[in-house]
Amino acid sequence: MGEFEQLVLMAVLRLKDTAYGVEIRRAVAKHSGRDIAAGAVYTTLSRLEARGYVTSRVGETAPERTGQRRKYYRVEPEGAAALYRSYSALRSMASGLVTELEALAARAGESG
Amino acid sequence: MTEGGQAPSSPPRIARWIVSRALRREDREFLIGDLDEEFARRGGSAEARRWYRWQAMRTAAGALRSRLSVTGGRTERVGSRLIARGYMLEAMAELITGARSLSRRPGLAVGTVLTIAVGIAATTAIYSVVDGVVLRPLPYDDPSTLVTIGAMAPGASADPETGLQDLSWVSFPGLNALRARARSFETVAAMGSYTFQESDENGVQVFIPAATVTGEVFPMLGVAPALGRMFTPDELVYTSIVPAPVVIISHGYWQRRYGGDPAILGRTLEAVGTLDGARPTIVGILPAGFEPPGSFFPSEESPEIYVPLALPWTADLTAQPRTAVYLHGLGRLAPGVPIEGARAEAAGISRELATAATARPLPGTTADRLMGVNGLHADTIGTAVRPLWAFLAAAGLLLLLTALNAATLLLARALDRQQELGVRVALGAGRGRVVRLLLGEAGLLAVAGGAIGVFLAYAGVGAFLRFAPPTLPRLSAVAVDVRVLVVALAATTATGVAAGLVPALGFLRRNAWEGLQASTRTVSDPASRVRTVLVGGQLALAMVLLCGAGLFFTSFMRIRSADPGFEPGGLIVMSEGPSGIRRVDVRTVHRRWDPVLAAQAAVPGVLSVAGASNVPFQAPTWAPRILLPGDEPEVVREGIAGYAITPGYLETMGIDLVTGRAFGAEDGRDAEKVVLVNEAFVRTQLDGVDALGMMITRDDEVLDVAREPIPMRIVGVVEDVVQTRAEDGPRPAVYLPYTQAPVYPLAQWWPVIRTNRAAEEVIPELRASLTGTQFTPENLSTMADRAGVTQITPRFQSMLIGTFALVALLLAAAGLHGSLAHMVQRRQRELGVRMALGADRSSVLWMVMRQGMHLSAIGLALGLLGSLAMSRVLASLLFDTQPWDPPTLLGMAVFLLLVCAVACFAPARRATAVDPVKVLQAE
Repeated sequence: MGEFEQLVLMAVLRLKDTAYGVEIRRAVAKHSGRDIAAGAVYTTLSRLEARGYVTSRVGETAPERTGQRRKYYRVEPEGAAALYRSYSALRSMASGLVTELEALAARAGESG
Repeated sequence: MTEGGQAPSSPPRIARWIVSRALRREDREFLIGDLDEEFARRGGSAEARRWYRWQAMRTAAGALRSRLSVTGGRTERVGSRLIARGYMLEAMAELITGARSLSRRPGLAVGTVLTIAVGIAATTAIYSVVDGVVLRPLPYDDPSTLVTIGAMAPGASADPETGLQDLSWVSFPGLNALRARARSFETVAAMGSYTFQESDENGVQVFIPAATVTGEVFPMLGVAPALGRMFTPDELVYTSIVPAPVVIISHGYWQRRYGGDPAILGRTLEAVGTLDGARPTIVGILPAGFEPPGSFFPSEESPEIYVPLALPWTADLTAQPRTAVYLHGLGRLAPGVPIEGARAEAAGISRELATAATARPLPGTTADRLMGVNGLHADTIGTAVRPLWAFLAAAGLLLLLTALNAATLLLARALDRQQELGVRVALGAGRGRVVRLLLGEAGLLAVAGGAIGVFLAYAGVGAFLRFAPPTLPRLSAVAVDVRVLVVALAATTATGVAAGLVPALGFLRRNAWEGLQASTRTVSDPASRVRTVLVGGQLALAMVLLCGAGLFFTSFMRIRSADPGFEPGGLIVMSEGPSGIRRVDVRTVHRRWDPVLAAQAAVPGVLSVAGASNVPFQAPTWAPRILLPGDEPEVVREGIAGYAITPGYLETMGIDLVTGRAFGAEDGRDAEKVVLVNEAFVRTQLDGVDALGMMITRDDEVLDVAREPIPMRIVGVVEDVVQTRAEDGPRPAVYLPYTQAPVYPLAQWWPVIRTNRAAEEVIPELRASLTGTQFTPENLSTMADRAGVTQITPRFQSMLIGTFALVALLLAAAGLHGSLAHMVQRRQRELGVRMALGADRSSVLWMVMRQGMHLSAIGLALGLLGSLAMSRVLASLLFDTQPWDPPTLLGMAVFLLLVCAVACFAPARRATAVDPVKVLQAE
């Protein structure tokens, strides 16, 4: 599972019942600082949906959406499992390296 | 969530549209909803709009990227879903890929674009002229049922080609009978000629063309005044022949004469009516662009002032007056009545009138002068538009040639890219995809060429209108507009597909692996046959155009050098302008000429003066009815022009007397009636017998007071003199002494002056000499200028076709050159081997030249066949020139071969420069 997919999945988990495009984008932006393209959210989610990691339902509209409905996503057990595996692997790889990583990153920041 | 007070704006529309195109339908709604929602949250500000556009671009770019990846993998699968969705996007992707690969060879791209632009421009420009002049409906209400009504030339039938009857002015009684009796017409209306005159800034009297209109005319045409009002019913009640003192003026006259001042309504006109000297009140202004209907008012004499025409219409035909007012009849057919029905009814009513007439037959209604009807559209365009079809055909040939030329260029490109395309296929790009790629490139070039072409077409139309002969009707309707652009678009698309299809099909037919294996070492050129066809086709098309241009040019030169039958050098002519009502005594009308001629003869440098009822390069105005001994009274001899002349006319003009004598002082009004005939008369009417002394009869039913046939003795035969135009060829003519001619041809006449001084010096003096003679000169010009005016049309035709032909030849030669050069480049190895094996440079040179000239010869032969096939179209447009005129065709063939030889020489030279050592080392 790619990093981007992890970010999106976690955003959906975090948002619970309010996980739709705008909020997902904002959550990713808030926590990762990455401004992702609105279209990319859907490309990624439809890929995750195809693998059975998420399911979606069409919800209500709102006045500012000029009649377009929202599509809400929910993380399925398979998705949660995959995310957990992927995240655990990352975390175990990173264990013991955090201090060094921070130091290196700080140097990159200085020279950049 | 909007920030206080400010009204939220709606999301940027184009960006929103792009997003909606770029996405699968499943995602579209939610994503757009998201964007709209976030846009609203961001307050709908300018900043938010920028954000929206940025998002739209990223989304579209993402979709494009996944479409563009040729190889498989994850993105390809996403892409393939997109393929299924948006054809729009797909085309865009092809275009972007095409543009990217084209930008690597800008020279070739620019060349192709310009080539296509030339073809599109020529076709678009000519089409817009044809569209404006011929195809577009007339700018009146329901124009298809509008007709003109006139009197048919005696014994004449409808023109087999145009279906038009030869109509002239119709008499009032005839029109009145139609209005009272005929069921074929919903409306019968009439117009007549009129003139006003005023002094221009130099004090010279100028004539302003005007027309009279019955009350029905403007409502029938659906024309409402732009300003002011139309004529009221009381202004159209018949009291006398003098019209009510009100006028409606044209928009153009209002602008030119009064600077578009709306306050002129209700004021009196500056100009005075030539009929009664009155200065009527301006009550209305016509809308801009209004042109009077039909062919009676040529565009250079389009009326500026409209006068009410009141006529004594009556349903009681026995009581109708016998006023011989001559009118231009107009009408609208009743619903469902075909033109043939109206013609039959008009002819029937004419016959009834003729038999019912007891004493003297009513003018214009005798049995041999039936009323006829023409559709207004056909009548307006007439036959002057015939060359337009030839122009359109020429432009079409040029377009075809440019398509072939572009195809040749693209083929060469595709050959160079054989390897690249092969690799693409090997890596999994579908055949269809590569074909689409090639078509996309061609489409891109065609669209660019089309855009430039339309731009050029605007300029081309402007040039056409500047140089076009004024005899073409409806030139004011010519414009590049949406209709024309649609045609240009169609032409562009066809060109793009045609040019792209050739290399694409060529690619499809060959195995993709072949391209990989072949590389540059191939000896045989697999595309050579296709290329032969393309280049040969271009040369053939160029040859057809060259032949056409050559024929038009030959024809034009023959018109220029045609013997006019007189000496035009040093001749000055003028006509008599309309100058007020005169009460003339028919027995002395000719004496008005004498003081005028005497005044002009006194001007220094004037060698001789003479007068005539009409002069060369001017359509005959008088067609006397001539009967030969033994002719039955109803015989009609058509097309004999009549001239009333003073005794000095032949000498002043330099017309040779073939036999007999010229007129002299002895041929007075009461002497024996005499006549001169021309050689064409002897040839066509008398079968070449000796005419001298023969008695012929003149029977001018309408024109003469006597109404008795007048016998005349032929006292001489003169050489043929050009009448309207040299290209009409010699026509039969009779010349009468002005003392013995009827009133009609004498009323407006032409002084002819031979001088040995420069025209610009003499003309003012001639004008000055006329003060106090009651003669107002009009059309004062040299005879050479008059001749030049009649040559505008043939000169224009040969110029236009000549331009097309030269462009075609250049393009075809460039195509030949390019494809030979390309071949030489691809066959370097073979040429190197040949030279290594001992072939000398001249034999290599000759080999390449031979290949090029072989192709040229094939094109030449095909082109000659093509031009012969077109000969029927051309025949009617040429003067004294056969469409297979051997010297012209031979000359053009030599010209083509010479240009081809030049085009072949450079690549052939390059072939000899191949260094065998280098080529073989490269192995």
